[in-house]
Amino acid sequence: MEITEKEIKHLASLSRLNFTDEELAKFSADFKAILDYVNELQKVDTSNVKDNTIIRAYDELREDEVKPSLSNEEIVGNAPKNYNGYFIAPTVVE
Amino acid sequence: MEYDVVIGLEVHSELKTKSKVFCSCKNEFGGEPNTHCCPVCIGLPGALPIPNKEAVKMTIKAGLAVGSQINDIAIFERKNYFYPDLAKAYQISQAVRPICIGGGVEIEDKNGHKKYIRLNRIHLEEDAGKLIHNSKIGGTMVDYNRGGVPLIEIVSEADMSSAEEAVAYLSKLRNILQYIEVSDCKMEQGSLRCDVNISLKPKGSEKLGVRAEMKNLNSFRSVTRAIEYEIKRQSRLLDEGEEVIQETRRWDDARNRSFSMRRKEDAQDYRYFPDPDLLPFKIERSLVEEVKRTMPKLREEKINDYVNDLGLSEYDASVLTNDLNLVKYFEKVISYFNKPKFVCNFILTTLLKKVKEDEENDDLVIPIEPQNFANLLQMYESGQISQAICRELFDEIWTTNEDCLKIVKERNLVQNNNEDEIKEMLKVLIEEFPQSVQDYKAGNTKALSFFIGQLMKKTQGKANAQIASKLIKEMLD
Repeated sequence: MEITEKEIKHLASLSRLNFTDEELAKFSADFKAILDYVNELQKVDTSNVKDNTIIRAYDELREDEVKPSLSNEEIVGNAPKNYNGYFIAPTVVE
Repeated sequence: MEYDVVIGLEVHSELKTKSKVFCSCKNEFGGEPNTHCCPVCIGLPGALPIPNKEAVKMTIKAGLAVGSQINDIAIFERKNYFYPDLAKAYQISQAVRPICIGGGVEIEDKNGHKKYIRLNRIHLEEDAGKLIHNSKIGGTMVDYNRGGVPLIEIVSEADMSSAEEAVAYLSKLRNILQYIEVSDCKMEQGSLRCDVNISLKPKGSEKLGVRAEMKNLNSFRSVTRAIEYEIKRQSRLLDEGEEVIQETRRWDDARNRSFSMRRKEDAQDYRYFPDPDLLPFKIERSLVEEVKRTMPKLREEKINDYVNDLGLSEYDASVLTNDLNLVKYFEKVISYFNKPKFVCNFILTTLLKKVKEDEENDDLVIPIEPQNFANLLQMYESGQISQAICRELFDEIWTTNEDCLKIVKERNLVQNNNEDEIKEMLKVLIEEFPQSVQDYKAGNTKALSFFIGQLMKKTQGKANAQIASKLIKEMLD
């Protein structure tokens, strides 16, 4: 299965990543290898294999209870930039 | 050229669970920034989300209230987009197997014409964090308190054809969500939000036109204005032979216009896939039945109760039940002062007018404690205070919420119902204003109200106006 450089550029831009030409070529090859591998797996005949998706029971979900959160210092402390309890992210306006 | 307008709504509503949807942090509006956060809701690696039972139940409840099918197995998926309001760079949402499928609500226009708006689905997802753009500090401030708050998205089919229908649909949904107690639906606080999809096609044409999506609609007024603006914008383009571009537009309430946010070519490609951290989960029929059994009364049933049990008129009951907050208030008041019709009249004529004067937004706020309001109405109904005093006191306690019993006592505002005393005072007035007596005798009945007005002035509104009207007529005739 082929993946075009254009598609990789699109994926990169969705993740706000910028690739050099060399990186782009490398990723194209890597992506192709991964997709080929998956393609190989697709060839296996699974028509006789039972669906083994694990399904959780409702009872295994969480009760609606409030437990202590982390402190503000712990939450924002690891961020490169914080101010007055807020994370500071690069300016984005949509 | 004439066009058919095609509108569909995506309504987001925050569920009022105690804790967030995938972690145990508090679900509460506001709070100091980043204080209701944990490794799960700020997306630290290795943190494991576990769905909140109550959030699932509330979503089922919403679905049952609008006649949706409840899926027996539901799946959470990752909706990927890179934006700082999402700590994980994906939102946990539902795509192929939401909790609720289909359903619909009936809306009614001013002339009583009914229309059924079909729903596509209701799914459960997590809300995103809040961004504050601040040029002074050279960045965007991010608060994840709201991140992970349970949110349902109710997706309608494109069954609406005007701003009025969209608003009727939205208020019907809000009413239902309030009644079943799954959301506060405060538009001002963002617990009810709405995106509108809108397209035009030549009148009668089968083929749908190209649609634009409008975001950031936070009040009924902005929904109306944004739709009207968009209809004008698209019909102008089509009239001039230009194309409508598929895009997302942001409504700017202050400037009363919308701006293009994203074109189709850079449309988000969300790359949904099942969240490997969250297994598909089963919704047993017994759970659905349990939710059904605990379903509170919806508005139509309330109206019936009010008409049949409390003797209210259909119209009064319908106005009173339009907002669950008002229903709760009304029921509290009549628990203290059991004269439903009297209370309802005062609410409809005086209180709701006051609410409208006070509130720019769509959320109903009544500052007077129900007990205090009940006391006021009881004093008025029993003749202890006059109508004029009642109105004055109502205005006063609306801002102060001071105990009206205390005020009446301290300022001695008790109504004078003593016929002899009122008669004496009227006698003095008759002597004082002979001209008005003449006027009355000449057939000008307005002179009667003049005397009542003078009497009220003299007694600071404390004379019983009914008794006075009766007496002055007797005295002059």
